[in-house]
Amino acid sequence: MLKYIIKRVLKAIPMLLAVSVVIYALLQAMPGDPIDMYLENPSATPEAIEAIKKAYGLDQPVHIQYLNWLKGIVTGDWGRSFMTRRPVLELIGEKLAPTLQLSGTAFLIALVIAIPLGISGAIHKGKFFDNATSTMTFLGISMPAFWFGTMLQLLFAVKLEWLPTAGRTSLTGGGAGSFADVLRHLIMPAIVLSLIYIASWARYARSNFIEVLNQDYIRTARAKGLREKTVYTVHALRNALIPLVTVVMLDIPAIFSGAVVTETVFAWPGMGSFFNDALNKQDFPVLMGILMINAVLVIISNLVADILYAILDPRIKY
Amino acid sequence: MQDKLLEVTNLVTRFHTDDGVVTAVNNLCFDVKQGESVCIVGESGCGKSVTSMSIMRLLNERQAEVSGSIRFDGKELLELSMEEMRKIRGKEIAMIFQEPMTALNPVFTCGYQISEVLQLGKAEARARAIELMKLVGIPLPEKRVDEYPHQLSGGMRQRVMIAMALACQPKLLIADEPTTALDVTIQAQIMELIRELKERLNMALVLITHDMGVVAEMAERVVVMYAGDAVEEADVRTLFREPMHPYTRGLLASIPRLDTNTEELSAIEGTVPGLFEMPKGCRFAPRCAQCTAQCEMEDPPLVDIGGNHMVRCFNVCDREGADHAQA
Repeated sequence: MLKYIIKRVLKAIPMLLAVSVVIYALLQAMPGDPIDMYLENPSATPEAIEAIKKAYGLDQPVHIQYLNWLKGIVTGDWGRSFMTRRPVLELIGEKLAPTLQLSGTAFLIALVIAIPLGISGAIHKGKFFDNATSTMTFLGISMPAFWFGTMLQLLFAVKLEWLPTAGRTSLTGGGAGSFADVLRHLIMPAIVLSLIYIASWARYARSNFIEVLNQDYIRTARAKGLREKTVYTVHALRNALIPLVTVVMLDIPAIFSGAVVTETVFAWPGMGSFFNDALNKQDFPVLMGILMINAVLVIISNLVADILYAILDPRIKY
Repeated sequence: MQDKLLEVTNLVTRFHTDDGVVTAVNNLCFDVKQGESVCIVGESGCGKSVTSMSIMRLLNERQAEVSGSIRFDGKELLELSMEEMRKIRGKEIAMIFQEPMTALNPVFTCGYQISEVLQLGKAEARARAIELMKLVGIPLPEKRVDEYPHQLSGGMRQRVMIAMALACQPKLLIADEPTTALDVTIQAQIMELIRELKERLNMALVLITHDMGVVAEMAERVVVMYAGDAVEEADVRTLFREPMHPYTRGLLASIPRLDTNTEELSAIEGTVPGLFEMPKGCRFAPRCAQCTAQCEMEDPPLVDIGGNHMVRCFNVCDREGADHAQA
């Protein structure tokens, strides 16, 4: 197993290299240029623009630019933002924590709600509870996050005034920035972000569980005189979790990068709005940094999914 | 006279499907005495497996409706609560299934699955599992106990199934085509094992099969089923020597024999009627060479023609009746 993990990690290196080439090329292929906005400034002389290009290294051929960037990444210098001139690593560091907080909370909420929901739906298949949750999960999948988020704000922040509308901390007041304060700010965006995963994982868990319940070994377990609870929680659950693990793990990068809309709606100071800004301003070093972190996350999630798979299913050997 | 362990009376199992109600088992009656082995034999789809599932009450109660009476050891199984029934399953009536490939849970070790119902401590459970694996003739049980079903051959998996069924020393073992999915050489071994264990543990056995060879070797009494009905019931010698029902005769005639010089294999013409197209009178009438007008109109009753030999056929019963009248 350990050998397999090491092999996978080593294999990830050429993969990340390939990914970086592709995104670098795609960013270069985007119409426009990071220094376009200077061109709109009437007082910018061609000489000044050349000087800026030179300062950013944009006067060099693309492959040299890429190699310079690569050298920086390996040595821990992720470059500086074109916009703020601050180191990319430092900027990402600031934004990463709030995003991890939000997406991590959303992930846990989704996991804790979706799987029991799906399983109870499967057990009570066709009854009221199942029909109700099926309808609700369908709604959950169909509801756009920006609309759902806005509706929650309207109800809980504006009408009922139970929760703060947006932001990560209160700006004023005694408890501003405390754990409880952040938690109160976290509730709504975390729910909004988790909704689609609650819905889709619950549906997936339900159909998996139904399939497992039709297997012969479930009949065997019942014929042995096991309690229904044991049949479900021991014999069915473990088998139903196997395919679920893959889906859940592979959704992690999506939750992480999908936080963009939710962060925008709730003015959450995370990677979402940061990425959006960088994209609009073609801030290459920042974009490359964020996208590489995403790529690493995808690779890690895949690896963890495969490891969990092998732990849950003895038929899988690496 | 041995005590009756299992008494099935007028068992009717209906399934509610999207296309309507189908009757899979129709008024089935049979008994199993303590320590006796009874074979239920018939073609695919005649209701053999549904019968065993009905006895265990393992059918989905929302789709299947089971009525009649199933008395086991003085208790009416159909009246028990699910919880009471659960306590009988595995402990008093155990079951072995057809497909050892799929009937074992792929993610748990054989040892765990064998000793699971015993609710012992870890070390004790393992020891008991090894003991049971020895009992069913699994070589290297100390090693196999920690292996998963996919690491074993089909025959070994079926032995694991048997060990699992025997864990609680049940009074009755229901084996639903336990060797159908196995190689022929393994089939004989498994049958021998079941017979030996039945004797040693003094269990009663209900063996469901379509194989007349298995019936000849294993059964004391035989129930021949056709399209949800018992058409003939007798002890095994009588059945093989004097089969009365045309269907039983057909079944016996269709066993290929080496000692006769026939070129063709004998077969019963036609197929079992579908559950939605049951004939009105005798269910075997459309395939029966001796079919009369009465057979097509009325359902014949199951009649005892003497010596606990029951037959459901107008022709046989009338002739027997005539014989009795002459005597």
